[in-house]
Amino acid sequence: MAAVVALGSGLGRKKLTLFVTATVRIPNPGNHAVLWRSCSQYKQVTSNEDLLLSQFISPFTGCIYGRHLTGLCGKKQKEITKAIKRAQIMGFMPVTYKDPVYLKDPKVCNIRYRE
Amino acid sequence: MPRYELALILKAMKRPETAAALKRTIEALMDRGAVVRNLENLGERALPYKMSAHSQRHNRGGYFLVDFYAPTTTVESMMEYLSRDIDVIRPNIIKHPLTQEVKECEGIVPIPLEEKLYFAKKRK
Repeated sequence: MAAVVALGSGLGRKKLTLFVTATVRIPNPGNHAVLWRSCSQYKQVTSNEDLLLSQFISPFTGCIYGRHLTGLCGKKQKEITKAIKRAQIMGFMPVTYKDPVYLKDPKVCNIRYRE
Repeated sequence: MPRYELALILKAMKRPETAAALKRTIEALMDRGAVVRNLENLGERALPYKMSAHSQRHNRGGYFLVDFYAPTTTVESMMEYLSRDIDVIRPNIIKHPLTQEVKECEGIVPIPLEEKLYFAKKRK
């Protein structure tokens, strides 16, 4: 967490807001979702985990969010993208929408939809 | 021998037929010299999209994960065998994810942009 804040102060105001929203944590871990935020939190991506990968796609179109929305570093963004594509081809994750089971997850990406 | 993972999607069938299909698959794996380590059942659920295999459309399927050790040359023949089996909707053999090295990620490294602003080499 301290590393995230230090990085945020180094990068300038725009990125700082991105990282500030990142430090929000879920109060009860009994909840259904995992909050992945900074890259160091993030160990290994396998294509079986729909829960983790569904957080990075749009619920309406199923398109993968870009780097400016997810806030991940280069390597991890690439790994996530590859894992999502692999899961979609292998038949573990839907392509054109987000699985309705995962719609209630807390927002990880920096995108705001009109209510 | 490297470790592989077979993500197998079988047709939604009754229990004895699923068992027979799995037994057939694992025996074929062992015939090709693989050592099966573990078989996991991820349950029967609705497929994320309609898939067609062997001139049939499928909406539901049973998901299974087999991790095994196999010589590298037999992976191709295994995939060919699985594509011929009519009970299998979608076979995929990938390298086992637990064998990949996990590198520490430092996050986004801030780059000093002033240095990048001007051309580094001196122009004559």
